[in-house]
Amino acid sequence: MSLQICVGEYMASDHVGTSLSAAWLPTIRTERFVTSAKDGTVDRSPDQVPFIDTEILWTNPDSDPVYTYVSIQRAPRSLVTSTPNQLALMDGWSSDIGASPSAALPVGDGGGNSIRTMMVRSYEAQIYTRTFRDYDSAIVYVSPGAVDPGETLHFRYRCLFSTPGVWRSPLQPMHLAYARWARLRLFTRPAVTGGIA
Amino acid sequence: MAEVCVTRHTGITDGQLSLEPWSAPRIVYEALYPSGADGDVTQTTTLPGKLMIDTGIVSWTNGSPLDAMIRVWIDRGARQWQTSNPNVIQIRDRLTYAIGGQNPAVPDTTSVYTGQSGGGLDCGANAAAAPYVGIYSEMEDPQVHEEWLGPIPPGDVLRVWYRCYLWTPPPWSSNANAGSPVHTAYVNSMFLRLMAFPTQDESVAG
Repeated sequence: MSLQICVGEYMASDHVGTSLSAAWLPTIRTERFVTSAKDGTVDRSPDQVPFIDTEILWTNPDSDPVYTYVSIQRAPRSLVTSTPNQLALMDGWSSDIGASPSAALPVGDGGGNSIRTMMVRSYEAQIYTRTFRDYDSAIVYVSPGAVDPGETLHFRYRCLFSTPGVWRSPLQPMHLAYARWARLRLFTRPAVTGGIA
Repeated sequence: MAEVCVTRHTGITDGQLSLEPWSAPRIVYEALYPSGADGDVTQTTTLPGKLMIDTGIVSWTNGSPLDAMIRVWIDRGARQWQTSNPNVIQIRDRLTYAIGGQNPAVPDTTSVYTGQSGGGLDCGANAAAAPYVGIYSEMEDPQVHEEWLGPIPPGDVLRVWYRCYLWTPPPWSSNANAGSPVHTAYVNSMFLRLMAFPTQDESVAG
């Protein structure tokens, strides 16, 4: 039996003991695994087409503010294209924090992978050429910011496919795009800036 | 006399209250594993291919009285490869793990893999079936792959095993680049880092 004592932020005390609060310990809060919906043969796509589209909604259950950061783990990707067509898989994310947050639709401005090979001038007859490229799995860390107790974080992620620029019908065409999957992990650490108030 | 008991994230030694090391995130293992097979590449059209990096089984025992979570970072070195028309080089790697007494599965990359990179250009052959002249070179930035493993109960062991292989997806032309084949690959290294994260002492509800 312990004496319950008065504690400040990021601590807890009861008859069992006095402890660091859950909000003090940096840890993972939630995880989201999502597979690509459109892997395989692709065609001309001047507008971005979502291959992966997912989101996290998380409400801070603690009595202290926490600082959030999200790890976006992208799967190894594969692109195969034929001259002179360009294939691109672009990443985008957005976030909003508040009582009822609504993050904007992510556009593909967060990096990505793209290939293109041009073997002949645009007015010359096509020749056969295929380019193969695999891109390793990789993480990107994003910091949406501090979430007060009871507030909610809305985090959105999309992987978008497009074919920027010119498009010609190739000789023996082969156009493949594999985004495979993505895994989002939401971590928190205490939202302290210098001294604790 | 009234007493104040404390969480297992803290300790009391000779009347002094202190924080225990497992109350904070910390690096519990890190090591650099250089590639043992960088350089020239020959026809390797059968999976898993040529073994480049093998960490063997790396183990970590949770010596704390609370569960631990482990963040694994596979920090791949910069990779360079060079292939001749029409051949392609592909590098695959895989991490396996086990929590408890058993050993992780052998990280064979034949069907399941963690990462994959590589590439090449196929621009065909002339009427005599000799591939056109053409060499494809690439250097890829280092990339980090992350895993989040656990909880690992007190006293339990986490074992991880990483391997990196290289192969040349078929078909393979032995007279590539108009009869002057050039094929090289450098995966350089992998830096393995295990970071232990604290978990809440649930005996104190606050």
